[in-house]
Amino acid sequence: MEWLIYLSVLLPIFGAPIIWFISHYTNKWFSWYLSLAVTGFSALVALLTALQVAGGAKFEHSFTWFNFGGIEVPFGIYIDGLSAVVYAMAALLGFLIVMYSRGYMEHDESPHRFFMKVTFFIGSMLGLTVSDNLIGMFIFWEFMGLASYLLISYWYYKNSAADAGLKAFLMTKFADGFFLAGIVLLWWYGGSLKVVEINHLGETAGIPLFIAAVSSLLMFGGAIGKSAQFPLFPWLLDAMEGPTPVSALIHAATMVNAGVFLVGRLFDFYAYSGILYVVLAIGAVSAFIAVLGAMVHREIKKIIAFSTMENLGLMFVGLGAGSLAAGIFHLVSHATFKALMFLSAGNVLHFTHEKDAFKIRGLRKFMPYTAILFLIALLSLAGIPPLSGFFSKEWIVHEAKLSGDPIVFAFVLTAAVFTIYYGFRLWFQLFTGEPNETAKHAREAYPVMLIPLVVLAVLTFIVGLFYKPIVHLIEQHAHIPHDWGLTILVFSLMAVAFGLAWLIYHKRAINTEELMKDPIVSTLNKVFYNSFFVDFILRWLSKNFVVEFLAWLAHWIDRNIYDYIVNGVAKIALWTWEKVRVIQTGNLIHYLTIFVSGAIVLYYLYLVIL
Amino acid sequence: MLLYFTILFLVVIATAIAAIELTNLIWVLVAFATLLTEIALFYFSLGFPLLGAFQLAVYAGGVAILVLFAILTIGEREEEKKESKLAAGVAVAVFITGVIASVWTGLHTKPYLDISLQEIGKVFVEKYALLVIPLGFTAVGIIYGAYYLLSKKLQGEE
Amino acid sequence: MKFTQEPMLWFLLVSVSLLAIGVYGLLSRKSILKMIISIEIIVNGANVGLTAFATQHGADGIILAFFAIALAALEVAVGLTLLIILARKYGITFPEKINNLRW
Repeated sequence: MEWLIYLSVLLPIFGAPIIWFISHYTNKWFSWYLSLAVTGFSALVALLTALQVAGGAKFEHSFTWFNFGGIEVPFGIYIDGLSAVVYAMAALLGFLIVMYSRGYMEHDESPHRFFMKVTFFIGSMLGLTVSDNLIGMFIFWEFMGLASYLLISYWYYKNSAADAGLKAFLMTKFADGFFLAGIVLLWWYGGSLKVVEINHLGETAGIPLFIAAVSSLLMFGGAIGKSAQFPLFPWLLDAMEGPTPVSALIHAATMVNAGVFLVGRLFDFYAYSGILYVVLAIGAVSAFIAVLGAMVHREIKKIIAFSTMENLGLMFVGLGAGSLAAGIFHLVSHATFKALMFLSAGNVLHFTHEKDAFKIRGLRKFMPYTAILFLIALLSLAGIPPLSGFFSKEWIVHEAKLSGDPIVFAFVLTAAVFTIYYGFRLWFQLFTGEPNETAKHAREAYPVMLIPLVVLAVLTFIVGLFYKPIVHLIEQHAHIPHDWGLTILVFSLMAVAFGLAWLIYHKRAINTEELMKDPIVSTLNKVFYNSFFVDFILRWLSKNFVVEFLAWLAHWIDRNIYDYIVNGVAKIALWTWEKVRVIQTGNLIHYLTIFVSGAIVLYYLYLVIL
Repeated sequence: MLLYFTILFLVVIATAIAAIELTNLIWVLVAFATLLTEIALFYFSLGFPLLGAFQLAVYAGGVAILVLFAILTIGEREEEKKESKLAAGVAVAVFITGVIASVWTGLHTKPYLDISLQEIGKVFVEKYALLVIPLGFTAVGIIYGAYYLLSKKLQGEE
Repeated sequence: MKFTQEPMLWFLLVSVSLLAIGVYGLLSRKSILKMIISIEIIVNGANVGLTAFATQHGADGIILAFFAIALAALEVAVGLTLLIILARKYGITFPEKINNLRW
């Protein structure tokens, strides 16, 4: 079984260029079949593994990758419940998204390029989930960074896409520096790279608390970059320049989950290091910023991107509040409904060619199935029972309350409640009302695009129905709190928010144009729209501090100090040559004199040494 | 004995200095030949008559005559240049170094060995016979080279 | 007369004196003939040393002195040949005129 798991990771990674090669010289669309076969195989293996792990099995295999000096770098797989759930989920969603891409990429010139990158991306995520040590995780983590860069700037001829890819790459790389520093620190003081041993260090307090805190903070820095948390989230919004299946892949199956998964994987260590409070705070702030951004944005995909950021923030809140199962279970349930949501939005985008949600109206008649699937995703996102989102989100709100911090609880409650507002704002705008010209040109999506959506919708129900086994698979002794009072509070607030959305965007009873004339509202709108100007601050810092100061300083030091030293060495050599060459008089007598003197000196040296 | 040695020593030093310092090349040759003869006397006195005879034949005979021949060929008086103080300093340093080395190595004098001609011959045949072969080739090479240089030079002048 | 129990130091003193005089001549004279004579003085100094040591250690020193004398004679032959050839061109004090090794 272990070799099958290895194969499920290595086949997509090493098969990706082969897929490109074969398809390039045969039929370009042949790559779809190959990619489908590879990811399907991985998904099958992953599901089997997850079922076996659920049955009590544990997969563990490790070997020494290489060693030099005293440094031994291990490699291998370690699959427990937590890992198996994420592994199976990523593989399955990857497979469905590859299937969906046949319809979405139908007009593409080079689909084999697309499928090569997507397959590589999925393989990297699977590698991350099964890897048993931090070095392996870091390698696959970087593979994903590369793949996301390639896929976000897939339409490389568009300036905005190329810039977005670069931005995502630079921001995540900046964070990866912290991750690597954390790994090295942990390795130096903890003496181990294996996840199990690190968690054991945390449980037994086998490492100084200060070192544990610093290294886990550094690794959390990497997770912030990868999972698009405050303050390194602007790349996630720009990443919407990529094709929609890629967005679905990044948001649901792979990339952004990696940060959450990292914290979950080292959860015992984090719990020991006392950093969970930072995780909680960052998650709450991110969720708050994201939900406000989602409420005022206009582009379909940006709204969904903000929603992803919000849900990632909620996952970190769940982890930070001290419940591993809450965070990771929300990851799983979010992955299913967010993939469904993105792919339904992909249908809308593909058949209307319109990014702005407020230029489309009344699509329900033309795309009935998409409308229903979108609604299912939306209800799950908002947290309506019996869909999966209800269980995970309620739990996280409970955990936030239990954490005892009123500000965190307020932020999380805002995020949880207003989810339904921005969700239905989008849905009412897109699917209800009188159809306009853009909508009339649309048609229902192809079956190849609808089948994955239906599967995902069913999956959303299944995750909701079987939430207890999944939770207990993630964490064996997980405690699921029940607080009916809180649930009623959340639901009543949600009803108000829904009513607001219904009034504004369905009934059109409140005119938003009139509201915008109010200076306070428009200022707030501007602040929310720009996510509290974090992106501007980052840009300003990178321009004025990094480029204008650090780069200038490096340039100055290079030119005036290093170059000066190098040139100085040459000058000294020349000067020495000029001065010393005169001893080569060419006069035989001088040479003889020096020779004899040397002999005398050597004799005295001989006397001194012996 | 000390008297004999002192006279010998002084003569050797005096002739050596004379060979370096005199400006007339003929007197230089005379001093040089005297020096070589005195050194042969040392060999005789140390009990190696064969070596003394060899010294007289090869050095005082052959080399002195060669130098004489060269002087006659060139036929020039030496133009004496001013002396180098550095050279004198180096020579003094060599001398002091040598004295230190002598004291260092020659402190304990054992009774002299009585080395007969037979013994010299025996050691020569046992240890150094093979060395004569490369030495012979070297000598042939050197003599032929000298002849070649000289004959080519003479041809070039004609 | 024959030396029988004189200290080695005496003979080494002779040897060292010859060496020092030879070195002095080699370094201070500009004439090639004087330089050759200086070299011969050095070789003779070495031979005296070898012979003196032979009284302490056995016949090897004597044999080495023989070889040294033979080679020195050969060297004088070559040196004088070169002297004759080069003296026609540069005069007898030529070592300072040959400065191809100069910078």
